[in-house]
Amino acid sequence: MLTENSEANDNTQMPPPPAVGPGVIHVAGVNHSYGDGATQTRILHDVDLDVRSGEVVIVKGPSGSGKSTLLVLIGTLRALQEGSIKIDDTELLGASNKEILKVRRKIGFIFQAHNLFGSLTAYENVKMALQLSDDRSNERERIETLLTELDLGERIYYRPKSLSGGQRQRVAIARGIIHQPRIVLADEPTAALDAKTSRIVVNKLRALAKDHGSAVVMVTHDNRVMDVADRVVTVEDGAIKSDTNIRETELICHFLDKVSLFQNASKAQWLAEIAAKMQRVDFQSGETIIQEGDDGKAFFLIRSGQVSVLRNGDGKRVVARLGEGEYFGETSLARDQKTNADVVADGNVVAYALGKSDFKDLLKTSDAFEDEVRRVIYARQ
Amino acid sequence: MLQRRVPLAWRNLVHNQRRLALSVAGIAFAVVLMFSQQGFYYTLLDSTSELIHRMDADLVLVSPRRRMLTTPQPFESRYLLQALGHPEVTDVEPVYLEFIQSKLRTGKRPPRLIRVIAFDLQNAAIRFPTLTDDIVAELQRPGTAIIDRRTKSGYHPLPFDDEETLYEMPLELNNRQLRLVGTFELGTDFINTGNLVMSSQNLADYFPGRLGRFGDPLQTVDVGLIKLRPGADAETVRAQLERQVRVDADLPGRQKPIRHVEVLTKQQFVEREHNYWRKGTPIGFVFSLGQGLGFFVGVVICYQIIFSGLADLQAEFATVKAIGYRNQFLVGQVFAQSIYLAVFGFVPGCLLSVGVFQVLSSETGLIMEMVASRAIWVFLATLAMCLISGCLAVRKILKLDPAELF
Repeated sequence: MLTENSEANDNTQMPPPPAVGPGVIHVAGVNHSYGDGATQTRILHDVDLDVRSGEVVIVKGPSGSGKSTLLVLIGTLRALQEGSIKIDDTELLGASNKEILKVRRKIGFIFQAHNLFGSLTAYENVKMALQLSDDRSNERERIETLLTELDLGERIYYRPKSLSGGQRQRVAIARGIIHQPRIVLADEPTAALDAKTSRIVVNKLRALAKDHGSAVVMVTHDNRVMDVADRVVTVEDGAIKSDTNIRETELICHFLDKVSLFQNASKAQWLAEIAAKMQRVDFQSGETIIQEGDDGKAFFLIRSGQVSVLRNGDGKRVVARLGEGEYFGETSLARDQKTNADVVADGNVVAYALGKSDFKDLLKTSDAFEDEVRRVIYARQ
Repeated sequence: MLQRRVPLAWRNLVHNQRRLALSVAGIAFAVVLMFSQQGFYYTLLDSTSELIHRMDADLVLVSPRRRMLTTPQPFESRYLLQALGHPEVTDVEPVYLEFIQSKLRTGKRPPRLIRVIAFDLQNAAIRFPTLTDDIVAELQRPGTAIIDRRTKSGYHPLPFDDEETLYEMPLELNNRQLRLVGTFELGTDFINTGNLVMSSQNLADYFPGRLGRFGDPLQTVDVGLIKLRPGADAETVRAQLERQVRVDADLPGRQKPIRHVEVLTKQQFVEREHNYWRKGTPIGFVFSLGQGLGFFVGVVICYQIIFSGLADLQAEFATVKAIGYRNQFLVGQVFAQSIYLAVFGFVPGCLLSVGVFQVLSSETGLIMEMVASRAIWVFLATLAMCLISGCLAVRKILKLDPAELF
């Protein structure tokens, strides 16, 4: 275990850790099938997914992979068969109709087909969603402002018949978000839009997440808008194949790139793979991250905050303090030894953790990395 | 602050004006159908009972075998005298009706049956507004009568618009010359194609052998009218008279008492007439069924209209369900639309029916009137028709699966 790290990085250019709010969507162990008996087809297999307030999650995957079913289940549009989905702590498995209705009103749906009432103006179509909301203050102003923001200022009182496909889709998007929902579930929202209006729309969704803490889950294959995602979840054959936290992965890569341990082996692709495997972990002040004498469980990279390294001598003694960009935990992993110190959070600490097995895999896949690890460990002795 | 909701049902209804016009036309058609069937049904009842309504009487005496007004089932006039003996009875009047033997020949056309009504004209036992003193005086002359202006022109082509010519028309009643001295309005029914009113004496002259069962033709009474003292209880007197006029029927030696006469209140007499036509003839059943069919056809038309409207908006309503609207909202939309359609369809349907009634009434002489209470009934039936259709159609949107939207 490293007790001191001399490789403090230049953090001045680093953005603060991404602010994520409390969990809004919690999917755990969800299985879902269609059909009965011999014709039964399982669509989702043991799916776990958490989406927090303020996050924009893009879900992608081939047709028939189960992503739409996942959206349908989160959106309460179909009854949950097995597993658990919680929306703001409301369990959907076995939920009453009243609870389902309450949850639905927290969700803003954006469907691929706009499904606007031809008899209503753009304004009235949007109002249909707002009139379900408890807060109908400044109704007209809010609707007009939103439609104007979506570049429909000249078409507010037009019926769908007088709007282009893209304009109709934007009205449908406005209908989905006018009530500032806790969750936005969007199915290919930019499919019918040109580059300019796609950008307007995704920026609006991004702003909704950032400013109002909405959790946005968007099924899309539109590469033009991938950059707004905080996470990209890939669904294949009914299971989540990968769940990549884009923002944090970028940050971790940025960090890793400056950590000497990875410098000899640093290649963007390789770093990204490491980063993708690292999990964000939040520690409270005073929390013991590593207990002396335990088996090494993970490699930690400090994202923010400070930790103290304490060793036993005549009582516990602080032997080092580690801050942003510094790391610990690699020695016991590399050598399969017991940890030789306690590591305690001095304040609130955000760290990225790489599990033992992933760390071992790294050692196996890169000789350069193994050599670098040994060098660093040697240097710290 | 109360904020207005989007009037979705209204907008969906009026959005497509062509469809709205077709929908209104469809429902108006059903309304006209119901009005027509109802009109025929009530015409049947009103026309046949109109003469009874005009009788100035508290109670009536009729033969128990008389199932309706036109059937020749008379009774002997002495029962009227018996009734007159009751302390609560102030007056009795015989009414004579002749239908089977009365044939009116107009010009050189073949003779046609016409109903002849005779009574004591001076006492105005049956109310005809045109029966003035002058006319009554004229009618006392032999060979005179007044004729119903609503007599069917197809059977009796008479110039009602030109009274001078009318009164000079060469007419024969039962092969004897008849002179018209005036007109009145009563209306035809499903048996009688026209009416003549004359004095009792003239009736006796024209029909001397009228059911000669009782000797003098004027002894053969069709309906006996009984007037009671003011304040007398008609039902009590009716029950007393019923026993009184049956005395002879209980004479010793008879195994079974024979009822020669029956005492009815005027309302009972009307109901008996109605019941005969309602239940005793296929016509009553046909028109009752016709009303039901009109309603059923209306339900089918209305269902098609509402259903096709909803079918075109399935995805929109599924979206509305997905975003959190309750099923009650969707049901409310369909019912609101049903009510709008009922009102929109009823108004032109009612106006059209008024026209249809006028044409039919003038062409046939039947009484066809747009009565408010009956119009309200048709409106309620229209409303029920549209709401039932709505109930049937609403299942479609209640079954919508918003999950299909993804």
